[in-house]
Amino acid sequence: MAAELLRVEDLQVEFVTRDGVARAVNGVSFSVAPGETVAVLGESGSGKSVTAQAIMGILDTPPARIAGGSIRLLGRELVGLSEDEYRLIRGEQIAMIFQDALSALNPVASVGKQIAEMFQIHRGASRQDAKDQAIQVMTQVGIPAAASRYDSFPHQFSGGMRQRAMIAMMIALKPKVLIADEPTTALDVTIQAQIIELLQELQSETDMGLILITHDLGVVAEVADHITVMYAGRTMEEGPVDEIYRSTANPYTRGLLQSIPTIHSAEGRLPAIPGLPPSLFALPEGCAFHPRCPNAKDRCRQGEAPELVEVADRHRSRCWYAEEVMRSDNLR
Amino acid sequence: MSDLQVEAQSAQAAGPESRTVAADAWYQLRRNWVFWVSVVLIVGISAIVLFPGLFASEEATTSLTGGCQLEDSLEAPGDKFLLGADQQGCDVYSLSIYSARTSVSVGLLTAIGTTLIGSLLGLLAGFYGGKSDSVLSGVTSIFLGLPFVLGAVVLLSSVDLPDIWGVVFALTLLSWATAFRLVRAKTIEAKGQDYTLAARALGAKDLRIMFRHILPNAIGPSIVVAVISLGIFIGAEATLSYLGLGIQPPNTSWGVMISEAQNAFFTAPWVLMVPAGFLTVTVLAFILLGETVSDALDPKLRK
Amino acid sequence: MGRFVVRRLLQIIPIFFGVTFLVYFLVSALGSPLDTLSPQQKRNPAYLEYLTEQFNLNDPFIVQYFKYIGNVFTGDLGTTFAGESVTEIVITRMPVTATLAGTALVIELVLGIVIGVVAARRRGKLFDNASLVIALIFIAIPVFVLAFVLQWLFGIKLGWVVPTGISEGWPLSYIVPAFVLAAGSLAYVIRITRQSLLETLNTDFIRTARAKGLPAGTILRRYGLRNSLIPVVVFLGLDIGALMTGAVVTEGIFNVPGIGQQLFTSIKQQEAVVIVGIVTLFVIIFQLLNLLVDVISAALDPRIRYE
Repeated sequence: MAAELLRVEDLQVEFVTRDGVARAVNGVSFSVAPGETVAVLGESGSGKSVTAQAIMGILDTPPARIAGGSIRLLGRELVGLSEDEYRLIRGEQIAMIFQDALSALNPVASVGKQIAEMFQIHRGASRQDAKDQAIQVMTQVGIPAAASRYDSFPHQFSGGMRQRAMIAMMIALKPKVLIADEPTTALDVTIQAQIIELLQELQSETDMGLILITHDLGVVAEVADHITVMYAGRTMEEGPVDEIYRSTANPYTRGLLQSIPTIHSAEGRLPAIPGLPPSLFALPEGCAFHPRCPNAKDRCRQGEAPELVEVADRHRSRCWYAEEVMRSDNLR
Repeated sequence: MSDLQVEAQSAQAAGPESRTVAADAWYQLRRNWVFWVSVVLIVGISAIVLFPGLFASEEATTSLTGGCQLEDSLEAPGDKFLLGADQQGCDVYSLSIYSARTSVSVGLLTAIGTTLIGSLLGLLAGFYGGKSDSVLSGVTSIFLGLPFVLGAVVLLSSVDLPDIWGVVFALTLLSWATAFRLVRAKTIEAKGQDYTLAARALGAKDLRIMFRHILPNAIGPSIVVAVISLGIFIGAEATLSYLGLGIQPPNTSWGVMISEAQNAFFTAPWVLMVPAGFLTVTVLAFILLGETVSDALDPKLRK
Repeated sequence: MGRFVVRRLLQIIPIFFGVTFLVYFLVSALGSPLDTLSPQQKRNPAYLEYLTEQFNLNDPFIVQYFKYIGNVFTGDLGTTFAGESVTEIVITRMPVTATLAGTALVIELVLGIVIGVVAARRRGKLFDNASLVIALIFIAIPVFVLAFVLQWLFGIKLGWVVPTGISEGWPLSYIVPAFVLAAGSLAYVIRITRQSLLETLNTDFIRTARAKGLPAGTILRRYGLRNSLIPVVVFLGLDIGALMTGAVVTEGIFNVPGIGQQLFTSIKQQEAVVIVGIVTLFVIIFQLLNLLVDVISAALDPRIRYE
């Protein structure tokens, strides 16, 4: 595999609020290579979206601030970059598509103009030139009769078409890395598959790195090369997708995997992880997952959280008993 | 709201500190000094309205018992008259205190009247829908098509109405439509909610649904609007009285005082500025109270 | 867009009939204009006859209304006791009022939006708090009090302008009354712009704009302001009524010879015919301006246009 495009190392993001400091992201690490798809997996509130926004440099500061760690894009450190420098990278080298395209698109500007804007602002294209290129990108993402839909407004598009328009806007300048923050959650199941397929197509055409933020394990199994599992702002486990599905080294990941229905589990209850994720203002001592962990022992309940340690080639887990979990009987 | 804040908030909600809307609103209000300023002002104004004798002597406001002497006409603020005297030589401060009752009563009665009429009609129209709703909503847009002070000007200049109740009647008749729109919208919203549908499925009667399930949802915003409009109606009364169409002497209100003081304004500004000051502070107090409560009830505006 | 305008025009028609009916209802269904006359007016048979004839008081109420609305459609707003046509008075005075109102509108929009945007950008800072306090005072202070104070301050104390009349022409004679007229609405424009901009800047599409790598200035103008101005325009529509009431008092106090001053004098002299005529005209203008505001909001917001 070619050299890595993006490396996130031990990223820490804090929110300073009236009720105290919340550690929304507390040590997240992963990397993305060209053509690779990295899935970031976790329940809501696990810090997935915050991580994505930190990479994009679009966190609202304050209340948020990057408290530590590093984000390197093509070898260049992004943490600490000035807003002006960061702006030139966004859209150009790294872009992001959002969950709800209806609220993420400007309601009072036509879809076409919002796409054409990328060429005008980043590339200095003329109005007509930008329009032609925008129509081309719209066609590329499968918007039928793109030229005649150029002047339509977001609310006149269907949900699937809006998400396609959003993708068109963000891949317009052929970024090296595309972050997709739950791109299909707001869509019908049939449309979901189409959008994922579109993302894969685009990826194979341009060899871009794709960071797919999701809680949909089905999609992950289908498209991801690499997985990062997050819990309470931390990476709990990361590794190649087959490796993780085959020999999970973390009880949390196992819990997630057990909660997907399969053909074999059609009868009886699906096992769910008991309890709720902790408040970011009051993380439990020791391993953050211990109150919900079936394997928790005394060591997990006190002192420092375990480190993220390598358990196999490119496979890391944050668990005192990673080896033990790996050896125990796996699911499939 | 961005996902980010939602994430932060849901993380917060999962913690031990989750609160109800009302408790959260009260938590917000308690820490808001603007709210306390308006409360203190309104308590003060209420005291003046209820017990003017505590603040001034009625004798100083009338020439009947010899309180006002013409020789004191337009006397400047000083030892004899704290805030000066008017043309008749009456104490401007005492007059302002004794005028509060009329000004505030007109505002209060109008606010109550518009809220009752508007809410009741809005509740019925929103609940039953259909023809009665279309008719009432049509009538509402007609009333909203006539600026209410202009309408009151037409009514009060063409029809002979008793002064205080006439002003209340005119203002109420011409401005119930706002409360109607609000309550109707809230009713339609609450009607579609699961708890209303559930109550209906359990066989609750219309009246019970309206008063137990729908009204509680509409009452908060209506009261907030009523408090703000109370301030606005006090101002409207002053405008009408200033134009000579509102309260008629010998009854007195801040508007009447301002109207009578205007000719002497350049020589004796205090005669106008004192009642104008009372008026402005009172209007401001009600608007501030209404707005701070409304902000506290609206989670969208949380910082 | 064309269809939208036509649809709105059609909606105005029943409202127009409804509002004129309401005006006439206020004039003569609840009582009679003859009741409010002063004792000496009551003793003047010519005046009684004039009023009876102007308001068709001998006809049943509904006939009175149709005669009145018929006159309105033929451009006849009534005749003063002195025999002048109210329509003609209004036409000669119209330009003055239009100038005053136009100046007021420019003041409230330009100042209001600029102050609102700056306040939003400096949220919680001194400028923000100061502008909010001043805005509240402008909302609470009655127009006529502000008029007297500014007339005294600029016309007498500082002597920058002639306190009354329009002898100095535009802009000198108009600026103070226009500011007085604009003050209340200016306060609301500041508050609405600030609030709406803060809300807009918190939306998902602003985050998208940042993810696209647009410069901050472009985001503020093209995304933030463009969306925040919609509520401001909607407010202007609601506020026209208050501006009309304000124009009556302002023109009266500053002796600006417009339609408002005519209404002001007529109220003082209890000339019911002129009052009804001018208020009817105001109602018509109110409806047309509201239509204009709707068209502008539709132009700004495609979601309204395609509803």
